[in-house]
Amino acid sequence: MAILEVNKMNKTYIGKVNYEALKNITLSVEEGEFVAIMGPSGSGKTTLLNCISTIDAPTGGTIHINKISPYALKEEELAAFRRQQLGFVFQDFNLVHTLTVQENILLPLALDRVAQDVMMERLAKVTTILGIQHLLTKRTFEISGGQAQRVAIARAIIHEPTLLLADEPTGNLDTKSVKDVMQLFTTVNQDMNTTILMVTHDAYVASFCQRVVFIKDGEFYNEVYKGNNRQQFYQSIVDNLAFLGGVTHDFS
Amino acid sequence: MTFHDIVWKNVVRDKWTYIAYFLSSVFSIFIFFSFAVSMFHPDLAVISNGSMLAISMTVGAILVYLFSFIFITFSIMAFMHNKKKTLGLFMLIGASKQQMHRMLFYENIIIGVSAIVTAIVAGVICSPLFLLLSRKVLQIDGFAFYMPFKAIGITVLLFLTLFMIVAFISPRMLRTTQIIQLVKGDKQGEKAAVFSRVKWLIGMGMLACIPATIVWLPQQIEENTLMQLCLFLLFLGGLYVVFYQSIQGVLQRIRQSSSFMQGTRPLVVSNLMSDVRANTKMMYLVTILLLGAFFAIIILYLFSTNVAKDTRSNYPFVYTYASHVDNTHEQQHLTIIDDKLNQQPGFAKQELAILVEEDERVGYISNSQYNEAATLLHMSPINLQASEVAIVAGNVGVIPQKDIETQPLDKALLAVKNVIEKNITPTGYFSRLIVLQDEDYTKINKATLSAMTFTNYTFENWTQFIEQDRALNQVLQGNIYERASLFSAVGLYNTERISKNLALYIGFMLALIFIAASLSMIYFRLITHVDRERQQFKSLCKMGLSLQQFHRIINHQLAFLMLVPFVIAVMLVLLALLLAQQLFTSSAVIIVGSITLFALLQLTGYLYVRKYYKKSLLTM
Repeated sequence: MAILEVNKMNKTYIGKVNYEALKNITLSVEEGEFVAIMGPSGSGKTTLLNCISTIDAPTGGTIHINKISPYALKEEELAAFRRQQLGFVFQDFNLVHTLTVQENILLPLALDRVAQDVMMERLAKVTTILGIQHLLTKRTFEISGGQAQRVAIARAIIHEPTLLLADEPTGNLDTKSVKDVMQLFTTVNQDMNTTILMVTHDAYVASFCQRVVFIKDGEFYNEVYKGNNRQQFYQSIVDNLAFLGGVTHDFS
Repeated sequence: MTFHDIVWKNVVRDKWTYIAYFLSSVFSIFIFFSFAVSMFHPDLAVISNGSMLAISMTVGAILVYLFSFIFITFSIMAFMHNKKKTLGLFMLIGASKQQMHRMLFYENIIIGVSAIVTAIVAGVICSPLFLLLSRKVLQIDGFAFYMPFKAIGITVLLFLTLFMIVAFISPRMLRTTQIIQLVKGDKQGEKAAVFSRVKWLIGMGMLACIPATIVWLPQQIEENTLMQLCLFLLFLGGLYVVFYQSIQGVLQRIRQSSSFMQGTRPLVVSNLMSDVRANTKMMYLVTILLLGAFFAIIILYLFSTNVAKDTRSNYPFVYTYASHVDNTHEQQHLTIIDDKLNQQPGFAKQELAILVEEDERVGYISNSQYNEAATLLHMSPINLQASEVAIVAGNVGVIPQKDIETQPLDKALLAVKNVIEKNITPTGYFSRLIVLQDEDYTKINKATLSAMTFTNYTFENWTQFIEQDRALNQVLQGNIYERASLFSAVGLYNTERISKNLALYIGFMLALIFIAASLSMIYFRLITHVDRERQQFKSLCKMGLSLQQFHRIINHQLAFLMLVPFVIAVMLVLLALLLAQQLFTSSAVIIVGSITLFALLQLTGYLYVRKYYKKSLLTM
């Protein structure tokens, strides 16, 4: 079953000079899939993700998430939709600095008025998967970047969203943390069967996914499936990037 | 963890962001409450001048309330801007609009309620002091400490309503439903603004309109409240445009100059320019607040120091007993007054016989009598020839008409020799006095005129005569009939002085609130970007910025933000006082004195803020 269906979507920024950020994008993501979107800077990766995230309305075409078209929803329904169906992870973590780690993770559930015991149960589950039980009482400025991103992932998955969206989740992390965080995404994808759509410019990060979609100048360019061999998958990602004018990464 | 917990923690853990706003709110509520304590004092009914106190305090309280409303609304707007990112994040995670509204509502209520409670506790503790002040200002006895339940009630009620209204309105300011704009709120720089000479000139034109209208249409301005309001709005608008464009212009000129890339200059200038809109808005508001504070204090102070002089220009003699010719009690009254006054040092008495034309309220006196009165008032005597007249003003500050139409005399004979702009009778009693040569005076046609006698008294140290004046009034009260009246400069002085003192007292409190608000705005502006600045200076230090250069940058930046509004406010006050010069001659010392005092306060504030801002940038 397709969780995400994007059909002929356009996004044009109106200004002194109109700028077409996305042209006719069609994309389908199946349930339980882990997909990366890649492309050179300015190719429209983040715009695509923002449109899917329901935070930046497309100017044409349709988006369906779990058979629902979010932009057709009323404001209150849209808020509930975000709260229940979507999870977000950002490059710069976006944790609320006035809240502790635990409070940050529980925030989506609190907004949805989930019962206290269910909250604690789910908290225990995600923190065990992500290995952040010892951080719960800390404030956001007391933890490292890698830890902050884990907290952000915990917050994004605690309500068991239909679709987890990640925008350059490793962009601010060191090599060791990149590997840890990506392994966590894989775990979340496999153990909780969460569908993940991620934007990255890093071939190494993308190689953790099952499929990579390349876009260039706002248009669909190519896609690559993982198959059985990750090394080969990495190589074909790098090859594609080379055509696009991207960068390669040392495979560690 | 519930939604309420989140809201609560969001405020409590972010208390340093709120502290300046909180303290200024507390301060406003405190002043309001203190006024209310005097306003509702149970002794008020029995003391004289009680109603005046109540009215003044009510006016003060209303002003404080109005100002609080504006200040609180403005602060909330600034906070919303500051918290854009957090708000966007909450919405992204799926907070519904209703939840966002509720969150902002609770936030306001939490701050509001804690501010009210703090202010009232402080107010009750300090209320004996305030009552003492009220007592001193009014020079009355009694007015003891009491438990001001009524004042507490009204303060809680009014300010809770205020916070409720603001809390209700503020979420609606969050117009942008585009979450992406909110989430990126803190990263979006301001669009660079460009200096426009045309706009600058328009602003200057708007400002120039004000003195021009005052000079050309003084009458209309005095009479038309709408016009006054328009001028005020024109001033506020014009000042904003000029402020904004001038700062743009100056910064851009520096940026384009050849010596721009020298030392720390590029850093200071670009720092100021990066938030030029927000900075200008803050500086503009601080200027307005300081102007409010300066005017409140200087003008009210000037009024209160000139009371004695003003009183004597209204009532030229300390006492004037005005009696019609058919007043049978005249001798009896004059004896009572003589007995009271003739022991005073410098006692002098003079009788002025006046013929009154009742319809036009014009009085006729003889040259010799005028000279007697003028000598007592240290005015120069006049010497009229036959057929000459002098015209003396009947009202303070009104130049008398020169034409002589209603003439009981043959008008062809008369020529106006002198016009004396200073009145010698109580202001308003006559429209003008006409002085005639002694011989002409005897020939006057008395048919249409009624005769009056003005008995004038002067003595020294009359401002100390308040107690005796009260006693004198008591004796004469009920004895004065409609055929006579007593004008007492002492009584007028006392009433005027008390009301001016009250006005000064309230003005001083308002000025304090304005200054507190202006400091709170500066604090808020700095705290908004302290994280970003800290980051920036950290990386600049890595690049080789010396500590000395760091100090220089901060000193210059803060001096610009804090001292420019002050200097502009002072200049505008001086300009305004210069325009209204005829009102305040000989008060230059006071003006310079109070400005020096303000300058010292501001400088202390600058040094203090500078020290703590640097400290907070260097730690962590």
